[in-house]
Amino acid sequence: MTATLKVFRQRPPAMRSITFTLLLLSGLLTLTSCQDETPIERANREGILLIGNGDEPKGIDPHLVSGVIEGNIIRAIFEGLCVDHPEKNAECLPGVAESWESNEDFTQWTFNLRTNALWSDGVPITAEDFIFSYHRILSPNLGAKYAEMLYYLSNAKEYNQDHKGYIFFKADPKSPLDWQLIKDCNFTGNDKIDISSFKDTAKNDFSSLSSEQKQLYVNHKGLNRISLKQLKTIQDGSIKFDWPTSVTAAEREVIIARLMQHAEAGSPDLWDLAHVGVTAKTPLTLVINLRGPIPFLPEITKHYTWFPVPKHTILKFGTIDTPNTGWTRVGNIVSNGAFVLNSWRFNHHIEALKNPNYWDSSTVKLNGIRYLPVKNAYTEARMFYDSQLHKTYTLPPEMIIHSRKVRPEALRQEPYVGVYFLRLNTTRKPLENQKVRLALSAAIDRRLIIDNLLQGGQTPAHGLVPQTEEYTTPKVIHFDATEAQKLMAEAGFPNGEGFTTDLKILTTPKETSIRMAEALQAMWKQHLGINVRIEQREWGTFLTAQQELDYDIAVGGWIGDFLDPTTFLDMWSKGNGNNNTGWSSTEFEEKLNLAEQNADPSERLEILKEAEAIILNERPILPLYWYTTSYLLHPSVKGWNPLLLDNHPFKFVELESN
Amino acid sequence: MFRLIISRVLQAFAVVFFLFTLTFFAIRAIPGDPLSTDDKSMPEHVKEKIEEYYGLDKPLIVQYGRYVKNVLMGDLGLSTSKPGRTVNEIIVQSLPASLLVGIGGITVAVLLGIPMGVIAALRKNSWIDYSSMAVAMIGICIPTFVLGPLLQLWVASKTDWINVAGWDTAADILLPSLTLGVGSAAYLARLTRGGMLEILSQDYIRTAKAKGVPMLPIIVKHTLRGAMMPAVTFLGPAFAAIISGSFIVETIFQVPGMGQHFVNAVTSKDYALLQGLVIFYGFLMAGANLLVDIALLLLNPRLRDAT
Repeated sequence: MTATLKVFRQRPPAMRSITFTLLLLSGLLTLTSCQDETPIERANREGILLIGNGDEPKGIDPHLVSGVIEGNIIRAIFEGLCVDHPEKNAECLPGVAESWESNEDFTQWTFNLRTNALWSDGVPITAEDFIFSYHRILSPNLGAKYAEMLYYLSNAKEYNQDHKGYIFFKADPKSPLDWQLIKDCNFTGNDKIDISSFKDTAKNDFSSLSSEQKQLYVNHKGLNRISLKQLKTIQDGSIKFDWPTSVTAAEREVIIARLMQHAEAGSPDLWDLAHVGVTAKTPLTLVINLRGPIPFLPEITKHYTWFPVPKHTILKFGTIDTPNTGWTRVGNIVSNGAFVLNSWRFNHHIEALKNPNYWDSSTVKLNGIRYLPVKNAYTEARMFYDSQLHKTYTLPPEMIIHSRKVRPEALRQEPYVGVYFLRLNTTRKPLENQKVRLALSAAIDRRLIIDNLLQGGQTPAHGLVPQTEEYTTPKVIHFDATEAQKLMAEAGFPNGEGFTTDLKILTTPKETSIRMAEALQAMWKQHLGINVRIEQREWGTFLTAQQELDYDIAVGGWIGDFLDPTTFLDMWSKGNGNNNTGWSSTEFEEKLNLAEQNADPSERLEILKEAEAIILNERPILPLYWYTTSYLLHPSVKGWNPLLLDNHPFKFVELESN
Repeated sequence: MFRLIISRVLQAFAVVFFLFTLTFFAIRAIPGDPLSTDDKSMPEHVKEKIEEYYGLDKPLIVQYGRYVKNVLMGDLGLSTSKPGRTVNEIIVQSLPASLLVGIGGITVAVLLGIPMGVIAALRKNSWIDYSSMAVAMIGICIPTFVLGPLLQLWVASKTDWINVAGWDTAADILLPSLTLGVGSAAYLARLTRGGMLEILSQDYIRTAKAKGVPMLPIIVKHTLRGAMMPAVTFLGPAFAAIISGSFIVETIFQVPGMGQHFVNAVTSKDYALLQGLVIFYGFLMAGANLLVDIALLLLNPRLRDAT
C-alpha cells in the first residue's frame, strides 16, 4: 500500500490525474460495453416504440396547444368520441362514443358513449366530462389558441369571444330586447379607430385621458370589452358613444344597464346564458347542436381540441379557466387514451405506457411509446441508422437521397394534406394586377423544383386544396412559359420591360425556403425577363411583416386539420388572421356561406369547388406543391400505414421482434 | 484576498444588473412578439388574454419594475415558449447536463492541451513541436458542427457501445466532451507552450539546471507553475462559455443542456427565459473569473503582495 503511494508521489501531478482518468474511463467502458443489444433490439423486446418527435412539446394540455408535435403525444394518451382508422382516410372508428347519428340536415348529432370508458384513475367518463371540456376550451379566460375548432357548435364563437351583447339579447330566451333591432350596435369594437398613441394610458389610467381620447377608446373597444367605469361614462352621457340611429334611447339604456349589471356582479361566466350547442340527454348521451349542417362532424371530433379532459382532475389544480396549472405533469395527469403518461424528462424524452384502464386495451399491442425531441434532423437520421429509433420525425432532402441508397426498405414517402404556396401582397403594385399574378404563376416549373430541389416526391399543385378521394380539385395551374409571357405583355410588361426591379421574395432563414426562392428567382428571370430579389428574415419578423402587409411575395405553407376543403379555404376570407394578402372577395365568401348552409354533402363539395375556382382565378396566392411526409420507419414496426393527415392511431401499431 | 472576493462579488452584481437591463430592453426592441411565433395566427381576443396572463399588456416600465422585484426574490418568471414552465425550472433541469458536458470538455482540453504544450515547448523547433502545433491549429480551425457529425460517423456508427446521440448511458458524455474539448485543447496547448518557453528562459531555471536538479522536478515544480498562468486565465471563461454556449453540440448530440435555450429564447422571443439565462450566465462568468483570480493568486506569490 505504502509502496504504491510512493510511486504515485514520484509522478508529476498531471500524470497522476491522467492515470486516474484512464482508470475511470476504462471502468466506464467495461460498464457500458456490457450493452450487447441495440436500443431498437431492447425496445422490440420490451414492446416500446421509439419515435423522433421533432422538438420538446409546448405542453400536452389538449386545449392549450396547436401543434403537430404536441398532437402526436396527445393522440396516444387521450381519446375523443371517434378514433382514426389505421389505414383508411376519412373513416371514423368508435372511440369514447360507441355509436352516433345525426338528424336529417346534419345540424344535430347524438353520440352514445360507451359504458366501459374510464379515466386512467378508474373514474367513468360521462357526457358531463365532454360538456365540461367544451366549456373549458371555449372559456374566454383560458386563452385557448385553437378554440375556433369548436366554433361549429351553435353559439360557441360568441361565448368564446365574450360577445356579451349577443348572449344577453340573442341567446338568452329572457332577453328584454329584440336582437334584430340592436344587432348593429358597436358591441365588438372597431379596430379602425387608432388609439395606439394612448393605448397604455387608457389601460392603466382611463380617467387621465382627454374626453376626446376617452371617446375614441370606448368606440375602439366596443361595448363588450369596456370596463364598468367606462360603461358609466356612456350612461351618464359624459362620453358620446356612436350608436346606430335605429336604436332608440330606451333601448340604449336597457343595453347599458344589462352590461353594467353583469360587470357589477363581477363578470360571472356566461356559459349557461350562452346556450352553447352541447348538452347531455342522459349521462351517456351527448347531444351536439351545430350552427349549420356539418356532415363531416365525426371527422372533426378526431382532432385533439375535441378530446375530453378530466373534470375531477382539472378542478383539483385550479378553476375551469386557469391555464397551465400543472395538471398535465407526471403524477398529476389523468387521461383516457390507450396509453398514460409515465415519465417526462424535459428536453430528453416523454414516455407513455399502456393504460390498463383503457376500454379496448386488448387491442393495444405496444407496451409503451417513447418520444425523443430530436431537433436536428441529420442527427435524427444518424440515430436511426445506428438503431436508436423506430421512426424519424422527418428527413431532410440530402438524407432522402442517402437513405434511398443505404436503407431503401426503411424510406417512406407519403402524401400529406398540406400545401406550399406563395402569398402575394395584392395591395402593392404591380401585384394588384391579376394578369401579373397569373403570369408569375405560369412561369413556375413546379415539377423541376420538386425533382431537383425537394426530392420528396411531392405533387405539383394544380389547385389549392390537396386532392382527396372525396374532393376533386380544379385543374387550373400549370407551367406554360409562352402563356406567362403573353399575360405579362397584356399586363403592360412585354419581355419584362418596365417591370419593377424592386420586387422581393420574403423567406425565413430555412435552407429549403431560400433555395426555393432562388429557384423562383431564376425561373422568373428566364421566362419573364424580370429581376426579383430575395429577402431573408428571422421567423418572428417574417410573420410580422406579413401580418402588417409589409412585403411583396412570401413563402408559406398550410397543413389541414381535418379532411375537408374548408380547412384550406376559410382562411382566405376577409379579416382572417391567416389571409395576409390584402385580397378578399364577396363572391368567394358568399360561396363559403352557401356551402356552410348546405346539408347535401356532394352539393356542398361542389359549391366549395366553385369557391376554390374563384380564388384560383384571382390567384392572390400561388400554390406550388402538395406535401408529402418523408421519414424512416424501422421494418419491425407493423400497422403504420400511409395516412393523409399523418395521425397514426398508436393503439393499432405493433412491434415485431427480429 | 478577502477584500478581492468582496469587491468582485459586488462588481458581479453591478455587471449582471446592467446586463439584464440591457437585455430586457434590447429583446423587446426586436420586431415581433412572444405570442406571434406560430405560423397560424392567434385570434386577437385570445392574444389579449394571454398577454394579460404574462403581464405583457402592462407598460414597459411597469413590466421592468415588476421583473426586477421578482428577480430579487429569486423568481425569474414564466417561459412563454414552454407554457407552464418557470425559467427557474428550465435552468435547474438543464444545468446538470451542461455541467457534465462542460466538465468533460474541460477535462479533454486539459488532458490533451497541457501535455501537448509542455512537450512542444521542451522540444522547441523540433518536428514534435511543429506537428503538435499544427494539430493544435487544426483543432482551433475545425468547427464543432463539422467535428461532431464526423465523430458520429467515424466513432459512434462503428462501435456498439457509443450511441450516435442521446443522453442515456455513461458513454454518451464522450463524444460531446471530445467535440467541445478539442478546440479548447488546441488553445490551451498554444498558451501552455508560450508560457513554458517564457519561464524556461528565466534565470532561476538556468540556476536550477546548473545545480543539477533533475528535469522532471524542474518542469513540474518550477516551470509549469508559472507557465500555467495564461492557461488558467483562459480556462475560467472557457468553462463558463462551454456550459451555456454549446448550442451546436447539444443539438448534434441531443444533450438536454442549457445552450439550446439561449438560442431558442431569442428566436421564440421568450423574454423571461432569455433574461433569466443572461442573469445566470452573468453570474457564472463572474464566478469563473473570480476563481481564476484566486487561482492566479495561489500560483503567483508576487500578485499576492500586490493586493
